[in-house]
Amino acid sequence: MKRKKQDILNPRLLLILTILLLPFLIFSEKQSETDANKIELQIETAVSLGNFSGNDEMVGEYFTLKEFPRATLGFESSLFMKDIFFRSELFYEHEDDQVYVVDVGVNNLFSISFDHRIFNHRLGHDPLALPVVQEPASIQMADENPGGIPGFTTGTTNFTIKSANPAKNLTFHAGYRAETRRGERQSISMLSSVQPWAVNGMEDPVNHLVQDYQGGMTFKLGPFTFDDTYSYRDFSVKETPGTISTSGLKYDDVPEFNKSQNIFSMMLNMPLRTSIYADYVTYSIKNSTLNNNFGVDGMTYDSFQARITSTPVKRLRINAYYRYQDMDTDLKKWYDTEIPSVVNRKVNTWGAKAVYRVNRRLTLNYNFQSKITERENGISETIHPLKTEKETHKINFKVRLLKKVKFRLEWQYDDVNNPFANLGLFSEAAEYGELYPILSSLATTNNVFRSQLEIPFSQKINANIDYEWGKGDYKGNTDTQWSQEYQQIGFTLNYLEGSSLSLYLNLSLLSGDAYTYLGPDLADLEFVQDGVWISGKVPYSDNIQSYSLGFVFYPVKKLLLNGHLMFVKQDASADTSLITAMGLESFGEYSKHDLNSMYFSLTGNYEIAKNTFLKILLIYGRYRNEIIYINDIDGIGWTCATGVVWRTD
Amino acid sequence: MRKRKFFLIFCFFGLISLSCLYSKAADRIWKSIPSQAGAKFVGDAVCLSCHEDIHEELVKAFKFSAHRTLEKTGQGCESCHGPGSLHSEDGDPEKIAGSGLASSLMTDICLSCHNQRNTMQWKGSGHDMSDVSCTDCHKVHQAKSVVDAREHKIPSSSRARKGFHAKSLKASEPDLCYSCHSRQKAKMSLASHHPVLEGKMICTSCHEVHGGDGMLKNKGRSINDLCTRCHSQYQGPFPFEHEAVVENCMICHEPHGTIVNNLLKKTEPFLCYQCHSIHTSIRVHQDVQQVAGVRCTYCHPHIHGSNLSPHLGAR
Repeated sequence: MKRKKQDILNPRLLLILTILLLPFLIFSEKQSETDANKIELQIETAVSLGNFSGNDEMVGEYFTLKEFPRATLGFESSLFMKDIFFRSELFYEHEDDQVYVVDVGVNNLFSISFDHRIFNHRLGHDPLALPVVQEPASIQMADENPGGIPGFTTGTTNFTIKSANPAKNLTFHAGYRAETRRGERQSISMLSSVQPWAVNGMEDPVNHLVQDYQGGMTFKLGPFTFDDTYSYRDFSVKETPGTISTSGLKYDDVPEFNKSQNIFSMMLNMPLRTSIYADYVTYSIKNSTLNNNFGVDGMTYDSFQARITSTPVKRLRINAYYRYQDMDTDLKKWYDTEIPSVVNRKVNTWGAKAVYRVNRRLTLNYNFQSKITERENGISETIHPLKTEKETHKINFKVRLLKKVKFRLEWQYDDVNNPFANLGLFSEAAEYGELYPILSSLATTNNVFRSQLEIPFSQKINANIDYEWGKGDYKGNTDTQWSQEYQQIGFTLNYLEGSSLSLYLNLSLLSGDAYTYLGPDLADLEFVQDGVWISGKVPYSDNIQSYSLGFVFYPVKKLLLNGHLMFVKQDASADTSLITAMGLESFGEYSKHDLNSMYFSLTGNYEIAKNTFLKILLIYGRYRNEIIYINDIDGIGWTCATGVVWRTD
Repeated sequence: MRKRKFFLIFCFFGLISLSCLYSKAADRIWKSIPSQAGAKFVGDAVCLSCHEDIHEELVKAFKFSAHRTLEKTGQGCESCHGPGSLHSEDGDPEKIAGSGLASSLMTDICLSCHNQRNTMQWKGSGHDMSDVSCTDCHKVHQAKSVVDAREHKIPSSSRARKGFHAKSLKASEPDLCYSCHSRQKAKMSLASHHPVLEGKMICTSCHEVHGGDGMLKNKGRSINDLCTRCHSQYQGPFPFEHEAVVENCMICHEPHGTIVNNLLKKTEPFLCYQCHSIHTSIRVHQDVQQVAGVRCTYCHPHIHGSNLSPHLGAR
């Protein structure tokens, strides 16, 4: 992946500007002085060696192994001088793994933050191999770039400046954020419009830039606090324009847009520890592709929220809120201009919460929320529910038993009427002969049960046990029903042996079962050649076991060891044996994830002289996923960095 | 639209003018501090006469904390603990605002100053209603840094990186959050995850811990607005839309971690079968059946919406 010239505010330039401001800050007018001065500094340099087996440069999605041998640099500093606080951090691992941070604060005046970081994200490569090939295979699947390495390098830059004294009546803040994403993705081509049909995988360049500009202020007037923040976003695409459509029009594959947004908030503090909060949010998006080709600007969003919180009597705290959201666009459906876009919807949410402290050991908490989403549909056709109503009830209690043993129990119940679902019946699909059944991705009822127990056995040992169980029931258009259930148990043990040894052990087990229901059981409709229709439940299950161990240990004087080990085993699969149609029994191959991963690190610091340490850092990683359609992120790799650390007292 | 802009500009300048009339902030702060009737301010010297020995390290560290300026601009220790005359007479901890305060009272003290932008949403938030106070996560007296490098904390992962802003937290993210949110910790170790373990992101990259709808950084907006903050290529709107995407990203994705790639809740095609049927009955196109039953995105690659194709990629 080649790096291209950046056309955003150069992060190095911002960093230099920030540092240059420092002398001005020292001589700026101050409202107070403190006497403390302190400097802390840590510099580390190292040479890294490493190797990997498997695929190119990556193990898993984020563990990068490249440019060996390489020099790495780390620098941390903090400075207190009169009224100035200055902090900086710098880490350079390789060109795709860098961090630069600067914080500068001047007492009661302002503070500046600068943050620039780069990291790499590797994506899996699909070889476009079918598990079963039926003869004659008239559809061609081809990986046109079998050695390709899809992935991104993401760079983010954040710069903010704000008033430092929050107690002031008027404070300002301003900021700039940029995010670049460059690399290549594996893009699947569209089916061609004529036979022989082909599905091809090719490498497409990705070069996106997002820039956010923000400014605002907070104003306090007696019991009132007002805040207004305006932001502007510009999203641009630097990659080559997309495919020419069959109609001859040329579109960008990814639409460029700009977004203008304002958030106005207000808070009022009243007697009886009562406060009212309200905000109004509005934004509009202008999408150049829509505007140029469809004469539609984009979309608009407006929302209003009000919330009141009060402690009317001792031990009881209550909260009630209401929110209204309105999203609009002039877009219509491509197949029926009388049906508006799903973007058009209004949401009314209201809720109430209450917390009652029964005594010093027991607290009860109840939450209720009602959310109603109203959508628009066409005059002659309904493609999704006009109104979805969701009610949520949540009860929990926390109790402190036997000194410091804490126990928490929670139950949440969701009831959904007309969940968002696909109601469409495409009359023009006679060729396909399909009926889209009314399935839904949202449960009509959902129960979640959570519990957590904290046990401090002694000053050296404490443990944490948590358990969660959830079940959602789904209802289709006929009497079809299925459910989705999961449970998780976790255990954490912390051990502290004086000042020489501390460690923690964490075990976590997650297990989930879901059922995907394929089609309605309508025997009177013929949808396949022999009148055989696919029906039945397909159980889909996933399991994860995660073990992690971390420790800090001083085996002898001057030597510090710390380390971390994490082992994760995960699998997911669907049992397709219940499917009764020809040729599809084996398509469960695509659901079979079987992953084993292990990451281990060990750091040793040995004091070789005053303030000087010899440091060795070893990292080992192993990642393997036996899944048919993801390749190239499996592998085993290790790095070993040896260097010197120097720090002040 | 023009009227809205004019109204906002008018409010802005109006507030600037009003601010000139209320330049003194100091008097307002002390009204929120709970205090005993008859108590008066005594000054830091009285506080330190006892506490400098009892809390020697803490007093030393306070000089480098974010609140050190209160010594000169406020009432010093009593800026937060309240007037200390009664407490200084007999040392009774009930006569001063201290660690025995209820979490909501403790939070009120902090909010008397730190009440701007995101902290304005604290009252009634999930953390507030769960009795989490500011001091459960933040250090008040200690030096302004995340975790001192010399504290030698146990690493949370093999590849963690540092460098996120110091916010006077008791522990660095995500370890601080994991102490209560263990399910999210388990999900973060799944194969497909946001790079929190690797130190490239932290919990507060997406979450607004001080309040807001669902404790997310989308303040008053939809969940899609949060996701498209970074994944802007899916903002749209697209002329050929995928309704489930427009409705809610979390219909298909689980942001903390999944076994399946791309943070999908289930693998294709089972995820799609929640709302769509299989193309088993493409009678005249049986040649594509074998493809249609495996990965839907082979033929519908523009699954988040398309500028080009009504069927999100297919023909």
